[in-house]
Amino acid sequence: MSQLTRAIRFVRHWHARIGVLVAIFLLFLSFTGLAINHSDGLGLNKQQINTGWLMRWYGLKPSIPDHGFLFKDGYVAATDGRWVMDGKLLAEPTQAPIGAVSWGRMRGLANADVLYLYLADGRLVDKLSGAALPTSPIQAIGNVDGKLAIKTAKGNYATEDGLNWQHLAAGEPAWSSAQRLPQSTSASLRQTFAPSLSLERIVLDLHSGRIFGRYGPILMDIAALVLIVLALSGLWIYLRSYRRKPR
Amino acid sequence: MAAEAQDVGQYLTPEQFLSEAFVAQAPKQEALWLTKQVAQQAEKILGHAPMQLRQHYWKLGDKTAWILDEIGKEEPITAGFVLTAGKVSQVRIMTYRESRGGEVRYTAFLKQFQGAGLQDNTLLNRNIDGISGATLSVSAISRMARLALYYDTLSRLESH
Repeated sequence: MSQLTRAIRFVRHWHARIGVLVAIFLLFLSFTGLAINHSDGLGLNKQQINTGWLMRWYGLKPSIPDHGFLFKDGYVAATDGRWVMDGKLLAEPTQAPIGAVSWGRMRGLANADVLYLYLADGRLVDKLSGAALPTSPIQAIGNVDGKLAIKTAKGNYATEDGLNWQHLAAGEPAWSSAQRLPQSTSASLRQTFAPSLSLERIVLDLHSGRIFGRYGPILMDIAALVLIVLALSGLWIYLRSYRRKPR
Repeated sequence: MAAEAQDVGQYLTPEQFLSEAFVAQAPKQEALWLTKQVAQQAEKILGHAPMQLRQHYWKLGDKTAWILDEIGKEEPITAGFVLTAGKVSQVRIMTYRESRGGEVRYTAFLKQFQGAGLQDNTLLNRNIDGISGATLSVSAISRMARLALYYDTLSRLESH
């Protein structure tokens, strides 16, 4: 047996065995790669996953607010950029709130730059910022004479509808301030404030190996290197066999 | 990781947009209430319920200006639309928050909307060429242009 034949046999032998071994990686990378490529179509970024063991694996813990803004028929609580009004997660606000009030059928929630107006059922009526506010930043939000009031460096202003503002020359509004939430309210927020990740993020982490921790990407790198070796050895075997075929 | 990257770019403040749209003094802000019927039509255009029940706009003569938000892929894109006599006369991207697709802010893309109007079926009366890799942002801006044109029609009806 010539040296070349022995070399081909050796390469074939290991090519087959390593091929079987990395097939699972190849399938895994192919499926996750396909999913990432069609992430928008599959709506992966819109699907939030909050499975307990997976969140623990990621090291994410629920961050439940124990303080919030209470008014006579409801409350607003916020943590980690998520705002909840009467148990309903609000889609819009992200910055830390400075106050929340209720007047008439409306609820007003504010951070320094934006005043959000909601209906009691959680529907967003309006988002006021910049030129839509008499001035900003907002320092506090409160009630005065059945109207919503804001406090700014240039004075206090009041509105009935969020469109027309009056400068308050006299009378101090009742400003909203954070209070400790009742124990039962805080407990009911456990599910709402449960950590979650988008399915797209999880699939991306599976594809890159990051979901397996700091050594995950190295494992995927090794799998990629092995695939390169397999491609080269397969090519070599093919070319050798092709040249040896009788013409 | 791409999904985590967020590169917020504010290119124009509302005040700058309005001073561009109305060279002299910007008119007083007005508000359009989204009744059930209007909200349904807006939902048809956007593919989802409108984010808020009241929409601000500015109107001077036959010119109106609208600042709208719409999600491209994950984050809202803030765009300003100036409409004159029921046609788009200017589109500006004011804030772009997505990690990819920011090319939609370039004039070469946005000028395609100039002169666009709305057909009866609330589609634009012209084709808008897309940008590779920014499909969702292009789609979001087209939807906003359609919505601005629809709201503009309603604002004209309100003033009569």
